[in-house]
Amino acid sequence: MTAAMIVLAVALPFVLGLTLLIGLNLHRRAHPSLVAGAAFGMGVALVGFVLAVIPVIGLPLTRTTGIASALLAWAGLMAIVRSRRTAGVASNGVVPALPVGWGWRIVWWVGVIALGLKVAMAATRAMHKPVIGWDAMLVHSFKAKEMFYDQTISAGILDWAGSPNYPLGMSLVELWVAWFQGSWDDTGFKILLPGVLAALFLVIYGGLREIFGPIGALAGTWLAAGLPFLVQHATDAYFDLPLAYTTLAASVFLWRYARSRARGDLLVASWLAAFGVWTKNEGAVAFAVALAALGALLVLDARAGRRPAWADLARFGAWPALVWGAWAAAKALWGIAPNLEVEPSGFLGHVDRLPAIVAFTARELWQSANWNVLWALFAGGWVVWWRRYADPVSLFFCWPVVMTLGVFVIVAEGTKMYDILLHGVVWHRVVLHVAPLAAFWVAVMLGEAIKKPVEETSTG
Amino acid sequence: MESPIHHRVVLWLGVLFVLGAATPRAVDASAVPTWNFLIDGVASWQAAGDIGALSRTPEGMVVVPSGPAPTLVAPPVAFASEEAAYVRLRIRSPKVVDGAYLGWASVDPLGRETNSGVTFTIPRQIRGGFFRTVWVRVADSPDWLGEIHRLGLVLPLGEHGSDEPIAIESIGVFAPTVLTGLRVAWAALELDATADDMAVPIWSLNAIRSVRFAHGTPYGYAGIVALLGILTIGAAGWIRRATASRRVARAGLGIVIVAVAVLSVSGVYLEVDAWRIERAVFGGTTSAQDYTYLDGLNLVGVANDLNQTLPPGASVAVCFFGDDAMRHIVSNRVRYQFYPIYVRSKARYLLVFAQHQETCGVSRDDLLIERPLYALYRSR
Repeated sequence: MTAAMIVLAVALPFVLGLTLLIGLNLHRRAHPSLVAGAAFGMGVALVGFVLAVIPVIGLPLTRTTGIASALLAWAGLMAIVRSRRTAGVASNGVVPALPVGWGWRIVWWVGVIALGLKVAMAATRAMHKPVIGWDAMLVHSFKAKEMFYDQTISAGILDWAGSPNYPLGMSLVELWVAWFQGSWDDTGFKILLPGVLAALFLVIYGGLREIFGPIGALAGTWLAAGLPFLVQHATDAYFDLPLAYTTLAASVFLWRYARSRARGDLLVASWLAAFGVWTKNEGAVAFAVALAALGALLVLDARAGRRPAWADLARFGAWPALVWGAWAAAKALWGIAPNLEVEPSGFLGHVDRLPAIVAFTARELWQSANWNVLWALFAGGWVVWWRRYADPVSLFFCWPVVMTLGVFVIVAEGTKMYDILLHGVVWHRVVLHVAPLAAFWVAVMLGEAIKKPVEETSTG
Repeated sequence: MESPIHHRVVLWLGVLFVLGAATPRAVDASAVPTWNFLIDGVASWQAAGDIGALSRTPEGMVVVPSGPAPTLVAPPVAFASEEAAYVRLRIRSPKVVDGAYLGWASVDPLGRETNSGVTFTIPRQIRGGFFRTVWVRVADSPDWLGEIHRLGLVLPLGEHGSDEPIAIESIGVFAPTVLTGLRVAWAALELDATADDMAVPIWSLNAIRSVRFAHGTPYGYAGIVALLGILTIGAAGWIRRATASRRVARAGLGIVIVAVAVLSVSGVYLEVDAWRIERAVFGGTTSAQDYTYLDGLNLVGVANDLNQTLPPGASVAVCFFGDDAMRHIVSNRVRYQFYPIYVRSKARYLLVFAQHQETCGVSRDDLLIERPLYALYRSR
């Protein structure tokens, strides 16, 4: 019974998210895998946003108020998204499949089944061991546990848990899972992480499937699925994997927007980026970088003689900015200080740290087993395809990697994050946030380099 | 024109067959001894010193030490030294055994008898009680000559010794074949140690620990190969002839795919291994209902209990993280006084997390401690 309730706790947000995407007519315009992968994030984000509002309006944070509020919010959103729907079928083109023979079909099925087994393995591992990671245990899920018992969110609760300035999005979704279980369980909520892993694979496959045949899309998905550290994060309750997922999914939909100019794609990207902001503080960096990439796209539009839709910049940025602003206001109200003091003098006074930081970064990217050969391919891709630096795919998948790592190099140089960096507990997580972006970019570039005309078959 | 895939499969199988047939083999493989102690009827090695008990169990030959240097001697053997290059042990030791010694007696071509040996390290068992595979290269020893007619094994346990049993599943002598070389190279990656670290990251601090290969050289080569592959694809763009350009690009892609595939397969191997270890350590079922929670446990009491010698029974693993103040743990939180303590009813281990490891009076090298559960219950 408990297992069924845990599954229901994950399935309900998925269904809510799916209906929102169907409301946007995305099921007719995008590959089903992309819709399914994004649906999970959309629904989980809905839960994370709505539960935060319940205490603000003076209601207790209980299962009844939580589920009722989520359903109410879903109904309201359905009305909004239906007004933003983009009509048409496959406006941006789902590439037909390769004319594959039985050999390739077997390869495809083996690859898909292996991916499924990989997710199942991660789920099994997540569900039969306790939460081990420190922040996962004593910050994120501890906050969820406190909210479960106290039925509210307060400064006292956040302070007790430690790191009160960390956003609450995923902790609230953990609370949601506990409600469905009926009691607090230190393991049950971990089902969310394998769910995120599956959604990430679906987004990558679906995103690639819109320009490649099934074999190419699957090979690109395995480029990310083969990253040991990515899968390892699906077995504990850190929130770096969810942030990597929201960052990638938002970029995929911004990339779709670059091709389709459909407001629906922009809305999905905005929603997912906003949940990234609500998942981890680093989500604000991911959002800012995505906003800059979208701005660059519009500038390129203007340089190409097209009329740039500047308002779309605001449309994308509004929701993440609102989430960030609301959380900043709450922290100010509760007197919660940031955990990193950023001062200009800090950056000027520690320039001597840069060589160590660069060396540390190089070691993480090139000598760590976390990332297989991803960063060798990424670096080689820069050499081979540097002329495509202004392509939309580079704007939304390649530059964000460089910019995000650049931001964190600067932050590490000028703040106490430098010490944390030297302890080896932060940089691999920062790299995880952008690794799926890098894998997606490499997959697109590799695929396009050897792409051949495709025709439709039933596979994929 | 593309060849059908089944033609290619036949071709690949043919190549593999030829490679297999070309593998050099020992002159008389049957003379090279192997002892699999899981099989009834296989002769045990004999105790030759510092061994309190030597028994055959379903887990192999179990050695209970009674002194600082337990010593075992093999039944008589007779094989030519050039027929063997490695001795492989499948062994389970609770602690690392540095300076383990594999000795032999040989008769050289002039009829002189020599006693010699090599030292090696036996790593700690994988958590959950899994065996380790240790390959000892004997062929490099200048004294590995003539006919080998005696083998022995010394397990030095230090000045104070240990009474914890060491289990040996098998001991085998291996010929210098390509297959043996591949098996040795695979073992040298120490993926089981990596999986152990992934499954129970005892030393983790404020992060999910990086996946670390014990030996990263092959991994580094894979990165270089992948880089060359992608540069090859780039170089294909410079070739004017379309057919040649396409072929070079495909060759580059093939290189990349092989590099990615090999490491992805190794990743899957690690995940399966980590899953096995986690099952063994955390209880073996996947139902979260098996957990019983011990909210309100007083960690100071636990820490005191850890310093006592307690009778054997169900065991616990205790992990200490961080270096923050102890007060964080034992503050007066009424309802959720201390969060991350849970016991699994079927589990042999309990995980306890504290922040101040020194309070518990243990060194950082000894964080995995076995203690009965009642000590933890008692402190409630």
